[in-house]
Amino acid sequence: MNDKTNERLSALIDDVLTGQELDKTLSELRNNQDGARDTWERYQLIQDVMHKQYAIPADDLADRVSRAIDSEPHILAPKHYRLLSQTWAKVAVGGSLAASVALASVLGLRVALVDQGSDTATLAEHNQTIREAIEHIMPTSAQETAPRVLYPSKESRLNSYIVNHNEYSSTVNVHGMLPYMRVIGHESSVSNNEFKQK
Amino acid sequence: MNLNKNNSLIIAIVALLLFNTTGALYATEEGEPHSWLTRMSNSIRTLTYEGSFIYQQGNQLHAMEIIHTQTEDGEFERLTSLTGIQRDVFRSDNLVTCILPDSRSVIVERNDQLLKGNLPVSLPELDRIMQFYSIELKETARIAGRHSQRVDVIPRDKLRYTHSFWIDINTGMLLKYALFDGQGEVIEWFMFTNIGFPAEIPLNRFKPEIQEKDFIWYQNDKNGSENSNPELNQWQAANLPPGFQQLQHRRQYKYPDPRPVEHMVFSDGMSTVSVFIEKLEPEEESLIGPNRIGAISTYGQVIDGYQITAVGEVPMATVMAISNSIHKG
Repeated sequence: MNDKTNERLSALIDDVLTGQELDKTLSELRNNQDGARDTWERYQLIQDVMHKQYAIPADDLADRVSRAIDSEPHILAPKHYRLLSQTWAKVAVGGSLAASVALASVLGLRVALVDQGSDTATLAEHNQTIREAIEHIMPTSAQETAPRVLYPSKESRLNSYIVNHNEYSSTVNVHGMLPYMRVIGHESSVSNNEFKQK
Repeated sequence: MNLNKNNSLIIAIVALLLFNTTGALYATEEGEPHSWLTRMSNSIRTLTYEGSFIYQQGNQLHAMEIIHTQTEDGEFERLTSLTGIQRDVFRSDNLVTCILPDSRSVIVERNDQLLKGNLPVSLPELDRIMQFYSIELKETARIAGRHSQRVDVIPRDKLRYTHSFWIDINTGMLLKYALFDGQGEVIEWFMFTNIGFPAEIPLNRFKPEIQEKDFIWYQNDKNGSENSNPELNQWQAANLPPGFQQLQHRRQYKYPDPRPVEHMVFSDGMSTVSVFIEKLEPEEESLIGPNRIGAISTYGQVIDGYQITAVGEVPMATVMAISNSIHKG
C-alpha cells in the first residue's frame, strides 16, 4: 500500500476527503485494494494503544465504527473536536505518516463527525451518510454484529472511583481541601501490582 | 476604717478577677479541642486564602498551589500541582472540574451534594466521633511563619487512623495535616510553606485556562435519583465496622459507559469509605483484592457478576470489612 493511499485513509478519518478522492478511497476499501481494510484496522489498533482509556473488545471493523458513531456523546464544547485529532497527530510518532494515521481511529472518526457543526439535524444527517458508506463497504456478516459498548479499563475505573470518593469525602469530612489534594496527588501513581486480572 | 474598706474592695476585685480568669480558663479547656476543629472546618471553607504547600502521599512528594474564596456567589477553589504531571482541580459549589493535561482530558462532575459545603459547617456528629476517637491538644508550632495549635484526633481502636491538625491560631486555617497509621508512621501529610489571606481574589482565576478544543471533555451530570434499575436497589450494607454509618446511596453514570454505578458512602465522622457497585460484562476487567494508593486503601471483589470496590482513607481491614458487609438484599 502506497503513501498516497495511506494519506487518503487518514484524510477520510479526518473527514476532509471530498469528490473523486473520497470516491476513490471508498472504492479501495470496498475492494480491499492492497489490503486497505487491514491498514484501516491497524490504524485503529495503534490509536487504541495510544488512547488507553478504554479497552475495546476485539470485534470487526464495521461494528466498531458503527458503534463509535452511535455512541456519539454529550461532550462539552463539541465544535472543536476536529482539532483534537490534529493535536494527537503532533504527539504521535515523529510527524511521519504513521503519526497521522494513528489518528485513524474510532475516536478520530467520531471527532471528525462532531466537528461538522453544532446543528443537530446536520450532524445526524452526516452521521447517517458516513454510516451508510461504511456499511456499504463492509461485508454483510460484519454489519450483523451486535453493537457493543466501550469498557473502561480497570485503572480508569479505579481512578474514577477515587475521584468520586474524594468529592464526597469533602462533604462530610473536616479536612476540606484535603480530598482534592488526593485527587491531584493520585497522578499516575496508581499501582495495580496487587490486583489480579480476572 | 477607710483602709479596711479599701482593702475589702481590693480583695473583692481580685477575687472577682480570679474567679473570672479561672472560669474562663476552665471554659476554654473544656471546649477547646472540639472548638478548634469546628473553627478549622469553617475557616477552610469560608476564608479567602492563597498559598503553596507540600503534600506527601506514600512515597511521592508534590508541591501544590491553592486559591480559595467564598463570595455571595458561592465557594470557589483552585488546586494546581506545581511538580510532576500537571493537574488542576477547579471546584465551585456543585461542580468539580479536573484537568488532566497528560491524557488531554477534562472530567466535569456535577455533584449536588457539594452544595452542602456552602452552608456553615460544624463538625458533624461530634458525640459519635468522641465514641471512637479522643481529641487532644498538643504543642504549638510555627508553620509558614504563623503560629499554630496542634490538635490530634486519636482512634480508640485499630479500624481508624490518627489525624493531626496544625491550626492557625489567628484565623483557624489548617496549616499542616498528618495522617498516622497504627504503627505511628506518617502515611500522608501536607504543610503550607506560605499562605496569605487577601481581601479578595478575582473570580477569573478560578476558571480553567486551557484551550478547550485541545481536550476531550467528559461530563457526568446525572444525579443519583434515578431508580430505573430495581436490581441495583437491592444492594445493602449489614454488619458495618463499629462507628461507621451509611450517609449516602446514589446512582451515577460515567460517560461514555451507559451502565449505572451505585455509590454508597459510609463515615465514622472523621473518615469516609465509598463502595462502588457496577455490573461487569464477561470480557471486562475486574478489580480483585487489596490495593494501597497513598493513604487510600481499596479492596475489590466480584459478587454475582457485580464489581464491588471499597475505597477509603482507613486501614485495609476496614475497607475489607465494609466491602464484605455489602450484599444483595
